[in-house]
Amino acid sequence: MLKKRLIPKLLIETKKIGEEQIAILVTTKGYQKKIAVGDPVSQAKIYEANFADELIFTDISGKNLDENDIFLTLLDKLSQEIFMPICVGGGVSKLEHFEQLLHAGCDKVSINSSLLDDLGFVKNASKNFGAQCVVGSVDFCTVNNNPVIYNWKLGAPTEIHLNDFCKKLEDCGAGELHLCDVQRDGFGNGLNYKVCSEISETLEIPIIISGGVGTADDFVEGFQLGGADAVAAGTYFCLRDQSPIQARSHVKTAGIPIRI
Amino acid sequence: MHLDAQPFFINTPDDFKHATHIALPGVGSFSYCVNNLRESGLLSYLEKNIFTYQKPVLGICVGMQMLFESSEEGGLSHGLGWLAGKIKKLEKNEMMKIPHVGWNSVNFSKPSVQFNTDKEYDFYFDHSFALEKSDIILTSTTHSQTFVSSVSNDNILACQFHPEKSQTNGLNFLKMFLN
Repeated sequence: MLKKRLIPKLLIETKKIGEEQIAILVTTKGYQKKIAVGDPVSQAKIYEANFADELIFTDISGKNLDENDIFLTLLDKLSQEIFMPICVGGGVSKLEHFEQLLHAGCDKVSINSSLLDDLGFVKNASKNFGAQCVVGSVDFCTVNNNPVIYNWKLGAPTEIHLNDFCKKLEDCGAGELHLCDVQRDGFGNGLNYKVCSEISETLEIPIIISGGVGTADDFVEGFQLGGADAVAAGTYFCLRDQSPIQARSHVKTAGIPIRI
Repeated sequence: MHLDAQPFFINTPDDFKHATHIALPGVGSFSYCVNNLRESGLLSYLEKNIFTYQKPVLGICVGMQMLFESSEEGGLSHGLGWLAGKIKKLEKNEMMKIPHVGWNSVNFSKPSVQFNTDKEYDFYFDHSFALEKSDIILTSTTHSQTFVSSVSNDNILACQFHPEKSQTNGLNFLKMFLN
């Protein structure tokens, strides 16, 4: 039977040290504060050794992928070192980006801010690369008790209702959605399983939820109460003495089908 | 590298000379992959290497699917037709989501040095279409329906899952191919 997935989220920022630009691993809090954590490749190898089911790699520098060779080089290196599924995003806005990322060894491409510009892009990507390759990465926040799409470029919520938007993404051929609650990001006060459950029930495609994992119990809530297919976490794995293998045994004890 | 094999890309007919084993990865939609291969001008050389020289070939994901007669993806598209069988969309049901994404159990029906038939092994899947039946089943997997997750005959091995992404089980599967 298909297992539920635990996914460490690795956020990448490029930084200039001397004359050299290097890629570093960071975590964020509410999409504002950034904390440097370390080297992305060595961290990814630790996650692999800890039986993470998949990795999400996102460049959060805000650069278009055309101007981000460092990120592509990093992915290339990474995919030679580890043998597990990698979902990659950051500055993806055209079909060539899919080709570049797939060549660099990633398996799924996530689209975030371009979703707000043109849903036709999702359609084309799905047609060319298959739905299984296209992940809609959707940031949301709650305004007046309504979940709405968050536009991180503006640093502000939009008026687009999350549920409507997710339905549209499914109709356009997205194969999976990654929902992240911006207000919970990095705070560790629990996942927004309520929103996740509403969307998971209405859509046919798999849902990844993230933003707010603070204890191993939060994973269980994401699966049991949120109906999520996968739970992703950044800060939880990066900054605490917690590994995917510990979280996994907690999830398994709760009776949820999970690998190993 | 991890398996003492040196992978390289085949870009020209001459490159085939140096290859002892051939992998056909497939990322993309069915017709996108088949058309790319046809337009590359390498298909006849590939077929010669596989059917005349009997070099072992490994098809992965869409690389497996395109070896069969046809696929329902993007309307009905023709495959290479090397193997008998049709690729169909996985059935939908209320409990199971499509695409089928994640780690699922694989049951081997032929034993090997690496895998037993009385044990289940988890491999990583990411697809919406699959092979329904075949005469040369190596493994089967159940999601919304039971489908053929890999096939093998003399020198053709093809799998719907991604061995290159399936950690230890995946490396063992690649070992099975290389030996």
